[in-house]
Amino acid sequence: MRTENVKKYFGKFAAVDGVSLSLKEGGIYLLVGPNGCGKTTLVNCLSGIFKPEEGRIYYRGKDITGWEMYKIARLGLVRTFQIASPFLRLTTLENMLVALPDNAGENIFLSLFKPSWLESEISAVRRAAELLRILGLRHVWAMPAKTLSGGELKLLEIGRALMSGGETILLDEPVGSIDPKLCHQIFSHIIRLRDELGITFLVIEHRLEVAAQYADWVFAMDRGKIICEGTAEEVFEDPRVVTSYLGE
Amino acid sequence: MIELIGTLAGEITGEARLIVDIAMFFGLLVIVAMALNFQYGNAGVPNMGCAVQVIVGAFTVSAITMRLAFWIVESAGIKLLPYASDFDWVYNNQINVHILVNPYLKEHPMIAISLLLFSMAVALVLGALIGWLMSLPAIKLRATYLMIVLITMADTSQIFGRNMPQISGGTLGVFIPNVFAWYPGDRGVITAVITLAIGLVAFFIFRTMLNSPYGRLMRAIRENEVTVASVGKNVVGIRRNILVFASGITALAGVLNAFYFSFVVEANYQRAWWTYWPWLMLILGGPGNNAGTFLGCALVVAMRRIIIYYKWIFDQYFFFPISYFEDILLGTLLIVVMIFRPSGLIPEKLLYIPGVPYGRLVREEVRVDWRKAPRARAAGEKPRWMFWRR
Repeated sequence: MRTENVKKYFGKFAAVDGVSLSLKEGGIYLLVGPNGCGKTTLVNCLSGIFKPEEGRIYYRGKDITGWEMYKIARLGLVRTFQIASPFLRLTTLENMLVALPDNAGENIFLSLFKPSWLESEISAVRRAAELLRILGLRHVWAMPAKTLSGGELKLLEIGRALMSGGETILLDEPVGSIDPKLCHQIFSHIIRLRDELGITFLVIEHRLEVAAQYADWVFAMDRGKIICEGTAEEVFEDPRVVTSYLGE
Repeated sequence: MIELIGTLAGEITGEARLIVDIAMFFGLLVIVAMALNFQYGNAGVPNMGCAVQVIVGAFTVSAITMRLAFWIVESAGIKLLPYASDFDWVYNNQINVHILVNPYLKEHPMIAISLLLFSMAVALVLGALIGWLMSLPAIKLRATYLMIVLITMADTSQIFGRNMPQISGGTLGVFIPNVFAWYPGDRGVITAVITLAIGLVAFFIFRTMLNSPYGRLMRAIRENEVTVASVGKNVVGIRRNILVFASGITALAGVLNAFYFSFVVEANYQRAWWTYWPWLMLILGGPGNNAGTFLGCALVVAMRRIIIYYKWIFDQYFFFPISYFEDILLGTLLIVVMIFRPSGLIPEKLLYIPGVPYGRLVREEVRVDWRKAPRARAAGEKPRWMFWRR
């Protein structure tokens, strides 16, 4: 994925101000910066929630600038949300199953003929069950999502993104408000998915002490711009990054 | 057989008429309420334009079926009074229908039944078409604005009917051919039976769709449409399909209502009748489940018909005209339900898809090869199940 000079304005305020970045396949990229620096707005532009006013976004060689979110997701560029957004009155398993691409039973007419979708539904359940096992959520498969804990909801978000066939996943604060033990568990899942499946992650995170341990590459943002990029050590020692967090 | 049913039904009088009336209106409104439950209760599409879809069904009968019936009768050599101008269409209508067309249909039951089936088929298509037209400006809007647009559309369709006599006789209305003229008993009985049968078929169709992955997808859209879009589902397209499908089914209620009264006039299709009351039924019974819709519909229809039937008794106890009581009841019931039972009399249950052993599948130790797992497809690429369009 590559962006070129992406700009997004709210009125006259440039929330994202000429961001150019490039992600290679199979990496874990960390996007950091103080609150309000434009990280989530950038992810919203990348995932199709916002249409950038200027600049281009390319994914797998296609110019996806201004595409609708579902079209971008179908290409394999999927996102999760800062505040976990599950389908509250659906069970954990159903939350996963909704994300499966091309489920025959989700066609309005084919849904009337069970034989046309039964087989794909069974294979979908097996796939979802395997994912739930990997993520440690299998024991809550039949529970409505509204009864899950904050950590379980974050894991469910990742599971849903994987279930949708995501090849590049934009994780917006995957370990926000999560205890340290579960934080490391979540990142160990991310590492495993990168190593086994070659999935690329762009992670927005404020828990720098945790996230920095796992990131291959770090982008630091301030006031809508990328101010610095490099390895975690390089970025966190950069005076511009320190200033952006702590002030002059 | 027809004679036998007719004999059993006999002449309907007294409280038997009330029962037939309740059955008929239950059948009609349960079709509308189930379609509304499909749209709003399950997918969160707040269709406040149910009246438009019902009107389309009724106008299909008055504008298309009637002309077809006239053409058939004239082709058989029966000379009808002229109906070329708007005035002819209205003033000669009663003689054409009652004296010339209905006796012909009485002698030709197959033609009458074909007209009924034709009306339903055309209403299904036109209802779906109007649902699609409604969706064009409206479906991308947020719930509140969508509701406003759909209410306006319902009123607009009534204005069309009021000012275009060639569609439904304008303010005077038109009589329509009695497609049950062949039935020896009371027309109300056969219409109620057919309406209940169609309601039952609609129930099974909706139930099958809701208890499937499509129903799950609908509920997911209701819960969080942004999340659904984020996993690659075209939410706008799905919402449009839902509106189109439900509109087609709702239009059937308009056809049956027209044949029940053998008369179509735009004033019979006000939004209070065909939009607000079905909403009350849905909210009272409990959105998101058909059992609740049935219960809400049965309670409200029975209550309304009993008030109308025994209004001379109720009238003694009220200081205002009893005709206002219905409207007061609608508002009061809505407020009471929203305060004391916001999830309705029968709250929604978790989704149940019969025939898929979810528990066993989740618990079995089958390892899925990740590398063979379904992947996202490129934009424009057809889904795997659309093999015929590859």
